Amino acid sequence: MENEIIKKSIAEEYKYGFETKVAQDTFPPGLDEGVIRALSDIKGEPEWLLEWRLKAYHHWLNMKEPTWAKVHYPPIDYQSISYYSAPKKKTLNSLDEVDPEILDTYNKLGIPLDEQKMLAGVAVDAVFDSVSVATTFKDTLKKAGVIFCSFSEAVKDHPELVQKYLGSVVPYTDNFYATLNSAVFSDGSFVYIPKGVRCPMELSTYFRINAANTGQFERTLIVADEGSHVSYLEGCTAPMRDENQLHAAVVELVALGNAEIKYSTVQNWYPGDKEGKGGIYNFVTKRGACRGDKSKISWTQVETGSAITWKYPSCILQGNDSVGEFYSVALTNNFQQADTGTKMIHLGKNTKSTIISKGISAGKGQQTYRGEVKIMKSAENSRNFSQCDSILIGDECGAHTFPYIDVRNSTAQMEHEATTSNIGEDQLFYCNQRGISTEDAVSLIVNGFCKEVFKELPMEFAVEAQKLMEVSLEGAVG
Amino acid sequence: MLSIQNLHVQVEEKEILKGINLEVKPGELHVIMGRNGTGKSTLANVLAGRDKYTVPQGNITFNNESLLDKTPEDRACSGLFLSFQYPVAIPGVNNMYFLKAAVNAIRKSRGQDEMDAIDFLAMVREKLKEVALDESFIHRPVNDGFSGGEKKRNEILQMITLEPQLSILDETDSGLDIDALKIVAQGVNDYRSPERSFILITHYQRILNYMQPDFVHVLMNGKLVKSGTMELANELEEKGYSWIEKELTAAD
Amino acid sequence: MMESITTDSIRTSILSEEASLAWEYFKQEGYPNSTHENWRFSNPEPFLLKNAPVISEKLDFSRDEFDFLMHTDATNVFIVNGKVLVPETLPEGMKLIHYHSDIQEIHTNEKVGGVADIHASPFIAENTALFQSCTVINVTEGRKIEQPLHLIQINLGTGENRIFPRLLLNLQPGSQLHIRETEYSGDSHSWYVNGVTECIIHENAHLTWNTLQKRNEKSGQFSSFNAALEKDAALSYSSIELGCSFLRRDANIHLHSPGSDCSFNSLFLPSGKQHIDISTVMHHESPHCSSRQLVKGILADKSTGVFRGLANVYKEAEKTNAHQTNQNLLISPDARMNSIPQLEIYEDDVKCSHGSTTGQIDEDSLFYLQSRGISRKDGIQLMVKGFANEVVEKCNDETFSKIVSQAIESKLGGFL
Repeated sequence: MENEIIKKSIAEEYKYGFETKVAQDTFPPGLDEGVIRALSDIKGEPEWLLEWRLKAYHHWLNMKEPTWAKVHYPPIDYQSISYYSAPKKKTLNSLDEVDPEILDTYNKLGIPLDEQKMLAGVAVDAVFDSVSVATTFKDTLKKAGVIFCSFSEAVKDHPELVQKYLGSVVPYTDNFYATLNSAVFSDGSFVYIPKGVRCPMELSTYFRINAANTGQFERTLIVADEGSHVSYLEGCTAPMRDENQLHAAVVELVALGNAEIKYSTVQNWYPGDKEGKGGIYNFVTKRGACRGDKSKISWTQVETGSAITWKYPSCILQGNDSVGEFYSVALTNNFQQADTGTKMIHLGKNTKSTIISKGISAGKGQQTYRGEVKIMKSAENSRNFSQCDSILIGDECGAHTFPYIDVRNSTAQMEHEATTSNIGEDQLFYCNQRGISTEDAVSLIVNGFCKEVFKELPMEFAVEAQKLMEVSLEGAVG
Repeated sequence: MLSIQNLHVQVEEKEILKGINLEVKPGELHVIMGRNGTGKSTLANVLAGRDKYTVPQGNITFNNESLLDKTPEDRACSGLFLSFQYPVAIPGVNNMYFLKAAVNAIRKSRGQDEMDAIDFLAMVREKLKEVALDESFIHRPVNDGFSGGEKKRNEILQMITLEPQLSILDETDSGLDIDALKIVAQGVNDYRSPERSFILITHYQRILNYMQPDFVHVLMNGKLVKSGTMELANELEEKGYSWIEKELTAAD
Repeated sequence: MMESITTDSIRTSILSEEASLAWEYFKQEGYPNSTHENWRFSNPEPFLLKNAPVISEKLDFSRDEFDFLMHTDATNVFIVNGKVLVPETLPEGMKLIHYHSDIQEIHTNEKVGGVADIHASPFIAENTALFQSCTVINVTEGRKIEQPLHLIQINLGTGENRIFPRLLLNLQPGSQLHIRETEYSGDSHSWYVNGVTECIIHENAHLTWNTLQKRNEKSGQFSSFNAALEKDAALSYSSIELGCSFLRRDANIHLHSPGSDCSFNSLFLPSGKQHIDISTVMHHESPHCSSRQLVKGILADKSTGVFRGLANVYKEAEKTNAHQTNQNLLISPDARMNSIPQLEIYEDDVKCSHGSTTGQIDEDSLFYLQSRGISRKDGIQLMVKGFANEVVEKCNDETFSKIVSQAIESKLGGFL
């Protein structure tokens, strides 16, 4: 058994290598039609997908970068980016070559050694535990009829599904970054859960291993057919170094009748150093459509990384009795900026949405909750509950709350609450007097503040998320 | 155990305590009485290490170690406990979790192993009985939405759980009805032992009906102007504070 | 669009320099449309009456015709098409000046335009350039004026017109004033009203300002209430919005010095196709200030409502308390409400919150009333009135509350 797994893994590695051999490892910087054609060619894509990419590209040429978000950064030169590079372009020989500060964080988070290597970009043996685990998982999934593969594989093996759903939730015309992604997306994940199937496991471990090299223009598509159920975990609590500064990913979810998708994210991309240098710009479009009656989409996110986060996981509640949820914890420290929130568009009758957003700003961090709740005329008896709380730590950070509430049906009920407060000196002294150090007291209070969101995370993720908050807040209170 | 020598305390340039001297030996219960605004709570907060106060003169030692340059958490770990006059609410953090963090911080400082959740819960269940609180109490957020009586009982619960050597009870009796007062007093009495000392700060004699103090001191104009026993407390109850004032001016 | 603007003639007499600056800015900005973030849900275009003449007084106005608007317990002052008719007697300590083209000297310490920032809205810029006369009210230091001052703002003409009322109120330190304002249409024509009110509330002065807006349902009004509060000053502002086809009410409140306090309340009741937009910005510029906003909407028929409220806490405005509540009742399936309560906070030691709810009349409560023998119709009336009452009570003025309650009741009677 074990031998077979190893063989398989090696074979997969080889397969990948074979493909990249044909082309250059990395395209020279710049974007034009030729780049998109070459990219599509390397990936061996069908004609329709190339056409779709080109349509997106031409549309993008006439778009302007949005400026409404409360984030500031120098202009991005889109011609200076390389739009294709072979995976694992930079390989270190051992952990000794990795920035000790990062290793320190890995240890604090309790990340196993092999995984540390993988995350840091150290060449990893084919017998790497998790890869074999992943392969075993794949077998289990196959038995259940679940399709879970890279986007490129899906294009080859399940073109009818990809063609049917790609761009059906986030059209290629959607917004500047999503359109750019549509033109140049590198790879990503594809999930299809057939009718009535309850996905036998959280789609997490596998992804954690594969996530490292999906690149800066990632595309994820998850389709849950009628009556199915899936929980998908994205990201990882370890800080991910990445050479690419701009990340513009797109995630599309489709839930048909009675289906349920739970999508959890822990985002901890490199936030830049203490002086605000470097760090990832994370401009992500995530949207789910509750197409069928009684369907449900639930987003949970813990955002602690990136220099700039621009992200609004949304739900379009089309089916009657469909449910949308958004649970978010976002933390900005040092010079980080986050403009994040959600959109809940109620179209079907008796649709329900819940928004719980917890923002923590420390250092010089700036954070904005931006949300839209739209209850359309057709959405009779719809309900929304939103709660957006912010905590400020220190007097150089900012917290902003911009909800947009649009109610067009009198039977609707919507409730929005927001509070902003600080961690009080009184609270810290009280904890100190009971023997708890200031740093522990802060994490105690912050974890209490985030509890409502953490409880939505799958168990092991929740524990990691708590630790992550502690690490991210280090030094926030002097 | 505790020794306060010529303690002067200022807040924003204003001198509040003007030379306090106090010796507390193991097993003793000292009562400090005085009118509102005479600096009783200041004394309690300075002992616990609140940083808005400055000490231009004087010294405090606790078990022969100077207290003044220690952080509040170090003082707590060394066995000093303050029952707050206004216990602080910490929304979202449940009482049990908070208490466990405190117990383990103190155990760790003593070189003891941390307690696991099961042992801890078993211990707290016993302690809850002593202050007549039911178990649901420890699953609520710390002091958040608690009634006045619940907050004070929570302070006593923390005291008997953390097992300090010296407990400073700052107006623990204020705002309590008679039943709650009895429970709080009983909690303190049960906790008394030859090794454990108390400083009880109050301006009513009422709680002393349920406790036996060794010494009673009167704080006035930033000084302990008179010391005595239970009889002094009774006299204060009867005659108020003005006679002491008269005595003082006469002495001047 | 610009062509019609440039035919207007800007003021060349008083404050001519300010007028030309404001005009330059206005020309550059133009009127806003729904692509402007602050106007996303309100389209002013159909109500601008760009070709209607600008007027600034009504020569044959007769006070007797409008005596039903007067309050017996107040000092009544008529302001017709923006021009104030200065009464013969005024309470001691109060000065009321008609500041217009004949006067060259400025009678207050504060200048017109000191609080209403032309950059805050093109409409403020337009008013600043085009107003022909300004009402200036001044209350002497330490003077507490008990009797309410009732400002009766009337527009009256023979066709479509535009007016630019302007008012400057200056409360000297320690003074106190209670203002009632009735905004009324004396005719049934379409009007364009662009009014700017500025209040300077000095140290420890207290201002209560209650407005009842009853313009005819053809008019469009773009008004702003601008106030600056000095140390320990207090402002209690309430408006009851019943009329207009299109109303945009901006409030720009500057809590400029420590200890100042503002309570802002508004109730709007649009029906038919009325559109009412209440937009507030609470500038917390200083430590230890508090603000409370309570905005309630009752929306009938095909009406639309907008509440946009921002509490902006500046850096170093520590110990700020800022709270915002917006509650809306949709009593028709075709009504639409947009609520955008916003917090922008740059200081950590603050307590800020907002809450917004939109819904219909609670069926359970209604059933409870019915089970006690109250008809469904009466039950709805009762609950809607109860909903409105919270704002009415904030006016802290019995006479005014009574008048307002009657006006609300008669409006509700039209659609409940």
